[in-house]
Order: sequence, then C-alpha cells, then structure tokens
Amino acid sequence: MSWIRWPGRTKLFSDYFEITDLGRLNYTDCHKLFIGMKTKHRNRLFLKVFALFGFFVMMIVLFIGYMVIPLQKKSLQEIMYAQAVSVSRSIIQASSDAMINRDFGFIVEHNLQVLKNNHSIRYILISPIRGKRIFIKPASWEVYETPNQFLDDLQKDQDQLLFLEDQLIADRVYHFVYPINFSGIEWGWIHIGFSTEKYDYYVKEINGQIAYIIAVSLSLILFLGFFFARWITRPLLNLSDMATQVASGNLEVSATLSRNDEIGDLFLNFNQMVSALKHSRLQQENYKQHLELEVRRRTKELDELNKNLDQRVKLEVLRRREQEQMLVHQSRLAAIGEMVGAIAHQWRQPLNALGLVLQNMQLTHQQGRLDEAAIRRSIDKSGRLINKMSSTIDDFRDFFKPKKNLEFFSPYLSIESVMELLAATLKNRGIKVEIIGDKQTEVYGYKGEFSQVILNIISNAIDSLLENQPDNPLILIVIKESQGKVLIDISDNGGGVKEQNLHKIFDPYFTTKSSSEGLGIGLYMSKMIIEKSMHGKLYAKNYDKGVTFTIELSISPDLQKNK
Amino acid sequence: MEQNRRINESFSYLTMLLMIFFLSIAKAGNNGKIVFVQDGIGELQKSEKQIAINFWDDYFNKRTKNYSVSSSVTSIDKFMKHLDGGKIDYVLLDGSNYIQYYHRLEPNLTDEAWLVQRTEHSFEEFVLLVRQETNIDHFRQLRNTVFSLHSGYGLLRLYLEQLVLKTSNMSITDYFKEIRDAKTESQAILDVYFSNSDACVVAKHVFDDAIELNPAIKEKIKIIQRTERIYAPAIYLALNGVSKQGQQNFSRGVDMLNNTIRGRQILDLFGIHIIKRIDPKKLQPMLQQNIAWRKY
Repeated sequence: MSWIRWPGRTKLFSDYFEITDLGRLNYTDCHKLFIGMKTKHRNRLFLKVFALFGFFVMMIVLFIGYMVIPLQKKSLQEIMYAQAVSVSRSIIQASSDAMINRDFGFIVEHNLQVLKNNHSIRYILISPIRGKRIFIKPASWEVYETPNQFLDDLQKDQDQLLFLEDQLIADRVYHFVYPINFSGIEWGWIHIGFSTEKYDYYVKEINGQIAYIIAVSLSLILFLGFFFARWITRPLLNLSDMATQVASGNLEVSATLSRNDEIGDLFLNFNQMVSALKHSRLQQENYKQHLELEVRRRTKELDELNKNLDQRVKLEVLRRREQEQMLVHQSRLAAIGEMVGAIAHQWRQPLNALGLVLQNMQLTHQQGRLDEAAIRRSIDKSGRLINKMSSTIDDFRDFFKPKKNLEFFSPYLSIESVMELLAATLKNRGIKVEIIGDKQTEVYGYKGEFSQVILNIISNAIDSLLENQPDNPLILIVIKESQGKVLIDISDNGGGVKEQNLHKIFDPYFTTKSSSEGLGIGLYMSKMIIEKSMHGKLYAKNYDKGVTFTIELSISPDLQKNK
Repeated sequence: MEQNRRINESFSYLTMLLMIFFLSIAKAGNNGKIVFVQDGIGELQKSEKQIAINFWDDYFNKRTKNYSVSSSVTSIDKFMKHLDGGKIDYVLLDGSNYIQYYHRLEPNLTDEAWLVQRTEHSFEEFVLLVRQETNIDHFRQLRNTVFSLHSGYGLLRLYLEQLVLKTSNMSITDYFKEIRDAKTESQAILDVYFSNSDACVVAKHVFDDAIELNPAIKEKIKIIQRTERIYAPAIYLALNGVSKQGQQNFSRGVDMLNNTIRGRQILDLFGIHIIKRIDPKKLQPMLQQNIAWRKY
C-alpha cells in the first residue's frame, strides 16, 4: 500500500470525489482514479457515463486520426512524386543534348548546379544503359566503376518512388528512379535522392496536429464529459438519494426537477409513486389499527377460551370416552343382538325337537304304550336336546366374556367357533361357508375380540347375500401366512359394496340398512379392534362377484412391538 | 591579335550594381557619371544576375531615386568614346581587356585600382591539363587535338593564344583540331576527364575545386604546364577626373559588398571572393607576360 499527499480540497469535484483534509490517498482502493482520488461508490454511474462518453469521443478522434494520417502521408508522397517527376524531366530536358552526345562533363556540371540550387535534392545519379553510372552530390561526384545490383533492381520501365535509408548515402532519402527515353529509345535512368526533411517535417506537423487535436479533444472530453455526465447522472443520483430515503421510511421527499425528457418523466413518476406509497401506508396504518383491535378482541376470546380449555378438554375427553364406551357398548349390544338372534336360531330346532318328544310321549300314553323304556328314551333325547341348548348358551357366554390378555391363538379355530354359532342361521339361509387354511397357524392378539370381528364381518356377508340372492351364496375364508403376517380373507359373492360407499364402510354410524336393522358401528368397531388393539389391518376390496374383507395380523409379538 | 569581344558579363553586372549604389548615394540632383560595363565571365545565368541587381537596387536605393543606369556595351569604340568624353569615373575590365587596352587606357589611369578576386589569392595561375593515360607532356604535343576552353574567361583564351604563338605561327582554331567551348572552366576539366577533349586550360583553383569534388580527377588528369600567379580576372580602374566624393562613394560601395551579408551574398552569386584595392604596379607582371597582345 502506498500513500501520496494531495493537500487541500476541491469543492467542484466534492460531489463525486472524496479527498481527505490531509489528502492521503490509497492506491489500492478499487474506487481510486488514476490520479489517486477516492470516489464515492454511489458515483459509479457518473464515472461510467463519463468514461463511456470519453471513450467513444476518443475512439472517434483516434479513428479520424488513424484515417487522416495515412491519407496525409499519401498526399505528401503524391506531391513528392509529382515534384520528383517534374525535377527529373527538367533535368533531362536541360541535359538532353549532353545525354545524347554523351557529354558527361556537361551533365556533371549541370547537375552540380542543380544540386547547388536545390537543397532538397541530396544526390543525382545518372545511369546510362551503356556506360558507367555517375553519382553526383552537392559537394562531390564520382563514377561508379563496378556494377551495383541494388541500382539495377531499381531500374525498371516504370518510374518509382521509395524510401531508402543508408543505401547510397548515410541518411534517409526519398529515392526516385525515372527512365530516360529519347523518341522512344531508352537511354538510361536518372536516380534522384530527395531529402525527406520536408516530408518528415510535414509528417511531424501532421502528427503534432493530430496529437494536438487529441490533446484538445481529451481536454474537451474531460470538460464536456464531466458536465455531460453530471447532467445525466446528477438527477439520477438525487433520485437515488430520495429513493434511499423513501426506502428508509421517509415519504415526505419530493423530486423537484423539471425536465422535458425521460428523466423528467422519471421524476414525475417517482413523485406519483411516493404519493401512492404514502396513501397506501396510510391505508395500511388504518388497517393495522383495525387489525390490532380485532386481534385484541380475539386474543381476549382466546384467553377466555384457554382458561376453560383444560376443563373443556377434559370434559371433551370424558365425553369422547363415554361415546366410545357407548359405541363399544352399542357394538356389544349389537353383537349380543346378533348372538341372541343366532341363539334363537340355534334353539328353534331343539325346542321343536323337544316339543315333538313331549307330543310323542302324550300320544304314546294315550295309546297306552308309554312304558318305562319309552319314557327313558324320551328323557334321553330331551336331555341331549337340552344339553345342546345349554352348550349353545355357554358358547355364547364365552363369546361375550372376552379375555383381556394378549395370547397366541389359531384364527382358524376361532373362525370355526363362530361358524358353529352361526351354523343354524347359515344352514337355514342356504349359505355355504368354506374355510381354507392351516389350523396350526397362530396369531398374537385378543382372541375374543377377534371372534367379534369375525362375527361382524360374517353377519354383514350374510346380510349382503340375503339381500342380493346370488345363485350359490358362498362365504369363503382363506387363512395364509406371508412375510411374518397372517392374512385372513373373508369373501362373499353378495355383489360387493357400492364404490362410492367403499371408503365409508368403516366410518362410525355408516350403514346402508334402515335404523331398525343396524346402527352402522360394527365395521367401525371391528377396525378399531384389529388396528388399535391388535395392531393389525382391516380393509375391504370389491371383486367381480362380491367383496373381500382382509384382516392382517402379526404372527409374533415382536413384530407387533416394532409397529 | 584578336580582339576579345567577349565581355565579362558578371563583372559588368557588378559594375552596374556599384554604379547603382554610387548613384544612389549621390546628392539629390546629381546624376553621377556613367560607368562603362563590358561582358565578362559567363558563369551565371542572366536571370540570376538580374535578380541580384534588382535586390541590390531595392536594398540600397530606397533613399534616393536620383540615379540612372547605363546598359552594357560590347564595342571598344563605344567604350573609347565614353572614355574620351570623360564621362566615366570607373571602368571595370576583365584581365584580357586590360591587357589589350592598357596602352589606350594608360593616360587615363590613376593610381587607384581594385582587384576582383575569385580566391583568397590576389592573382590566379593557369594550368594546362591532359589525361594521365596520354603521353602528352608538352604543349607541342597538343597539335591537332581537341581542346576545351571556357571562352567566357578572356585571359584563358589569351593565354592559349600566347602558347600557340610560341610554338607556331597559327591561330588557335588552326592549331587544334577542335576547340570545344565549355560553358564553365570546370566543364572544360570534365571534358578532358570524360575524354570528350584532349586538353584544357583553367585557373588552378578551379582545378583544385574539381579535385575536391571528385578526387578521381587527380588520378586521371595531370598538369603539363602552369603559369605563375599573375593573372587578375577583373580590375576596377579609377580614371582621371574621378572626384574625391566619387572615390569615397565607390570605396564605400565596395566595402558594403565585401562586408555586409547581403553584399557577400551578391559576391557569392558571381563567384567573387573579394574586391580589394591594389597598387596598379602589381598588374605589371600580367602585362609583361602578355605584352605581345597589346592592341596598340
């Protein structure tokens, strides 16, 4: 890091450049100009415009200079060429007799005089086709005794003008070669070396003028460019400042520039924008106040609500629990209802049989044939019938006293038990039941609740079959193991569930039956039991002839825990 | 004796200049005395002389308009008429005419003479030049050769005639096969150098200047004869009747020519080194050498 001292301030540039009191400047600062002044970062636009303006003007000037200088040089060369031709012709004309007569003395003398009178000519070389070359300079002359390939190469049919340096003389000259012809007969050539002093002087003049123009242009660029860039960027900088103030929250700013161009329009629009912003803010403030009031009110309500929330939550929980219990109770009652119906079905046949036994005893007595053997037979048969009815009660009672312990049980055997309970109903309805599976397959869960689920699903299947009256009503139960789970598919061919109801069948209180036929909580409870209590899955899916209810249960308690 | 009808052109113009000056500083109403001019060494083009005269005229005669210029004359008779009429204060003659008309002039001459010098030496020597490759060592061997001569310098011709007469009783045109007229003395040398002629006679300093321009000339050309340094290219002679004022004016005019920048430029134009006053007696050797060529 290097520092220079630049004492004092410059007010004119203070808007754009920052110079400290002590004038110490940092060259490594990326905002520094080439003279080391530190610019305010916000004035990059000014510098860009200034630099761009200056760059383009300078490019134009340099381009013009680049084009002009060669043209000028060419013009000078053409002038020199014309002069060279004129001088050559005049020399040849004056010396023509001497050349034809090969009076070289006259030629030398004449050309010495020419050189004496024309300081711009550095030498004249007479080169006859036959004979030796004579090289004449202002203060000497000589005869070239030996051939000179360089000069030979210059001597062509056409005249030519070229720059030579340190060839014939130790200096730079404009060498002109002119063929000498007399009446179409070639005599030789005349070489004239012209001083480039004037040419160099004029070129230097041109370069100087171009440099002067460039310097003036640069000064003008600096001067005009500064004010031009300032004229362009100052309003924008002011606008930028005002925008910054607006951004910081001050909406009392107003752009005062009055110009009849796009920048003027910009200022106008800015003012309009600020005005709109102010109006919007006012509206926002009002709305905010209104919102605050509303929030306060709602907050108050919320506070009130919060105060009773716990209590209300508790009450709600109790209510829900009661509801659930009621659902469970209702479900149980429904199940009981089902069971009672099943019991009635089961008992009808034995009761009829008992009636027949009594009727038979009466008849036999009337006929006088009622003896002890007949009475014993009747008693045995009645006993069997009563036992069967009693076992049915036990079965039902067991069914409604579910064990609350998790245990391993065979779903096959559980399903069989339920089927026995519903045997009479199924037979009476002509519904066939098939159970396919391994009796050894066991699951882990609540056996009794599982039986309730099966009962519910089977009951629904029976209802569906009764409603739709398929040709061969069938309930197919398939038990299979898969990836550590037991899948129990219960399918009926009762036509299936309507698609629009399929996703609702597990909702509580959803039913397609009349209110006297059911409450719609059976499947809901079944899903709760399988999924919540036994951590399994229960879902239904239609197939072409009916619906399949699938129960997924884990084989082992570990799998259940992992769930 | 052949009359030298060639007039020293440059000196005549110089005379005209001096005359202009002389007359320009004359008092108002005094037209002054006409100085007779003659043709002389034709080194320069007429246009350049005219420019010099115009310049001199413009430079020195702004103060007065009271002058008149006489034109040059070529005939000796006219000259003598003017001489006899006493209308001449100064006369400029080239060396050959001085020699030829000395006896006629002598009664009119004063002890004032001004020598026109082309070099730092008062007098010139002449050299006879031939090519080195030739076997010519003596003038006699130049019989029936081609000789280059600058006829504008009368003394050279006079000298040549003298040489010819010494060896034969012939004119120079008869003696030589051809006399080539060289426009300048240096061209005469070049004629010999380029074998366009066999010999030439020039002033020694001209030969030295030619060698300076091209040292090869010395390799190729040799001097077979040379004179003593006695020849004066041109002389200003004050004639009887010149006034003191006239002498002073002339002297001042010469001084201005010799010592002012413009004057020197004009002298350079004519190839003149200086105009210096001499004792007329110093012209005697030239006269003695050519005594046979006096016209009278």
